[in-house]
Amino acid sequence: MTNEKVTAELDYMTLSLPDLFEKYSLDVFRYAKSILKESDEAKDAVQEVFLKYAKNEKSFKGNCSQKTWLLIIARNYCFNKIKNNNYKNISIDNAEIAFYSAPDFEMKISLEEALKLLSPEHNELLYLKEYSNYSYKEIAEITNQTVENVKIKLFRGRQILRKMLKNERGTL
Amino acid sequence: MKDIEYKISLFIDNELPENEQADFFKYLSEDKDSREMLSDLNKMKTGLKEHYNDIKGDMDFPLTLVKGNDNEKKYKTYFYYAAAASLLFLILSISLLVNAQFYKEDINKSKTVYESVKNDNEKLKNEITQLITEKSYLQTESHDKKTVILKTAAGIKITPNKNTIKNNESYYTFLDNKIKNAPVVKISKSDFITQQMIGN
Repeated sequence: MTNEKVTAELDYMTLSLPDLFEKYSLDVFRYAKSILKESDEAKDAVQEVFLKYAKNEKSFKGNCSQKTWLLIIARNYCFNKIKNNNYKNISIDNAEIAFYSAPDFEMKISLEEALKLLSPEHNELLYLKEYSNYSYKEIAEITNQTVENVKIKLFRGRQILRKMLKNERGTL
Repeated sequence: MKDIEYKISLFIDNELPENEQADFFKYLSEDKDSREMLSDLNKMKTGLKEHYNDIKGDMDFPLTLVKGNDNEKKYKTYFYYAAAASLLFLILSISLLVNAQFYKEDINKSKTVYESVKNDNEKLKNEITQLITEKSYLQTESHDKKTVILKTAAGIKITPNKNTIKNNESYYTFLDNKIKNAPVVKISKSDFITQQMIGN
């Protein structure tokens, strides 16, 4: 995390919950949507994340930024939901199938459709990297995995996505 | 170059080690497919950013948490209302209880008065009965007896006075008047109490 970013994050450490909600709820929503893929589910996730945050606010030690903490809560919530509901687990297989079997002349699909086919793990990494612009180290912290894993999974996610987005001429 | 795709991925994330960058650029300049891949990934990067940015536009963001705070406030308000209502109810109950005690005392007083009036009434009735009996006795042939004890329906003993027996004519009139003018009042217990209650 850059110094600027750290300063910016620390500024929000003193934010009240409603302010924090206003500041980060959309980010949490987008992150949750990247994993759960459904807006309604993501909206529920936002509510749950901030409620959990509110309940456990006192236990926040300041080891990471509030936003990171919110994203970690969101991630735990989303993957628990997937685990409990066996939610969209078929998408992983679909993405793999699309990647391995789709010929180059396959009809082009939209980015949104492609992201729906992509696994939650790849989706969340792409969100954290491409939109939130987190470093590999920060992503590893949020997703609780090694930096090497993050690198490889991001690469794989991009590979799959690129393959799905290619049109019949082989261009994006 | 080995793992060029992987290195392109690292490069677009600004995570390609500096010592590998020279070789990377050299290879990139020589390989069209790699350049094409780099271009694709950059397009994807831009597309993804736009995609996530667009999410804001098509959603009506729920502020349930804030609503939750409102609900909490609402519940607190309800709680205060309920507490105030309970307190009012308690005060009202105590007030009614105290009033009931006063009413009880009033009722007891009324009962005493009623019993007293009732007794007076009974006495009066007995007296009238006695007078009627006395009159009947004086009108009978056996009135010349010195002492006659009569038992009335109420079981009251009557001893007619000798002197009055002698002056019987005037005494009859006296008795008639007394009976006629006797203040007999009929009153029921419930009427009496109700009147007392209304009076209070």
